Amino acid sequence: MDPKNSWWKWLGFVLLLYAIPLSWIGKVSVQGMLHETIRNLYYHVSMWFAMLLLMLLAAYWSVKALATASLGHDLRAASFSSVAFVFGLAGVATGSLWARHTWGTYWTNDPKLNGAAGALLIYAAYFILRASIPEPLKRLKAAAVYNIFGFVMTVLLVGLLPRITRSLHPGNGGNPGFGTYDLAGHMRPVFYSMVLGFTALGAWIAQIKTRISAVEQKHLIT
Amino acid sequence: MISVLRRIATLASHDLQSLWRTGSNIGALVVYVLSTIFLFYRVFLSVSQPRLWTSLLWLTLLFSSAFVASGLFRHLLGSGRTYYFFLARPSELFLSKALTAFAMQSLVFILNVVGFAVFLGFPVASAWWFLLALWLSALAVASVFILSTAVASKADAGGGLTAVLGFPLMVPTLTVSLQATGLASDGIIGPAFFKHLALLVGLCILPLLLGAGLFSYLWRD
Repeated sequence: MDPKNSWWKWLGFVLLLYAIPLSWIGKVSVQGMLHETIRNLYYHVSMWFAMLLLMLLAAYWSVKALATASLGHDLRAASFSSVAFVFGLAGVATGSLWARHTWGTYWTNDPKLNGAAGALLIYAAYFILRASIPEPLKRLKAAAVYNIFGFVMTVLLVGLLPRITRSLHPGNGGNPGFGTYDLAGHMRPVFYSMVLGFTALGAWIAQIKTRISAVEQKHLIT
Repeated sequence: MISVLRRIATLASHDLQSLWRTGSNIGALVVYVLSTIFLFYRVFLSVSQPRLWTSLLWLTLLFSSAFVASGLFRHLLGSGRTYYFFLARPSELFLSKALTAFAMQSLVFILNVVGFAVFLGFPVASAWWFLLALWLSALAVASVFILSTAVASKADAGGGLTAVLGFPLMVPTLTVSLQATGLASDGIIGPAFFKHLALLVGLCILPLLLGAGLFSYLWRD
């Protein structure tokens, strides 16, 4: 490993090493109906943040792929999208468990939940699109355009729409954000470390995945 | 600027003319819409709940707009590509297709609303605001479909892929649309309604801007 290009892997490793133990045993602000489930904040919310950051990177590689017509960038976009998809699934799963303990049900008709489901559907359609075009260059263009469009719609879905409609989520539909009450000062460093650590971990996985598919397809990474 | 707009209008009117002269496309649409509405009539006889009315309307609208969009890029591929390449810029071509889709979608919309009103009734408080919100949503749906068709035309998978790519992207549009039409059908015309109306206009324009920028990458090989 070249230390000049892999510092972010070490950074992510150290951040997770610091944050994961603290997420279990660290001091949290226990209140109201949340009780100790507030610890899920470290996982649920950071999954979504990491997913959105990885999707942003996928959209960035898609733009690069369109601009340079390089298959390596195309592979990167695909890998980042699929890792982001897995993080999204983890976000849904952790959120569903949390909702069971606080709102009393695994799934509710909440705009943020519907938006999350919509975002995952968009990326599922992206993988279907990739699978249905055998020619690499054609696939690069179609997939990249759809990825960029899908990312814009995802930002609308999970970022904008829940804020203007009624939502159970903190910080949406007139509800105060977690930051106002619950996210006490000593929780912030752990939370931000989780976000950055998981994003770095995801990017690392995506990089390895890119290399594997490049070997499989015998394309040089350019 | 004027010449760009004129080129777009000319291309769109050419498209509409060829659609009209071929006849089979518009005929298929009319038959599809009317037979679906008649089917709903046989099942429900009349619909008094605005929510059910709207969702039934979306069933016909979504599939008919997917049908309209899926045919629009066919002649731009193959030998037609070279011809159009010298005629207009890709962004102009895309916008002309969007204009065609908007015109066709408005036709489908009118056909649907009239058919629904005749057969199933019209259970809405603020009719004109409701129709405006619904029409804007129909255009927003068409504008998402036009971009997903452009992407799907890269694959030789036929019309099915348009629907697969388009439906997930439809979620935001339909969410906003349901809120807006819900407010109008209850007769609550206030700041919340106009906020949703403005969002719908934004959702019409956003895919067009993205498509106009990105279509050149899709089109040239």
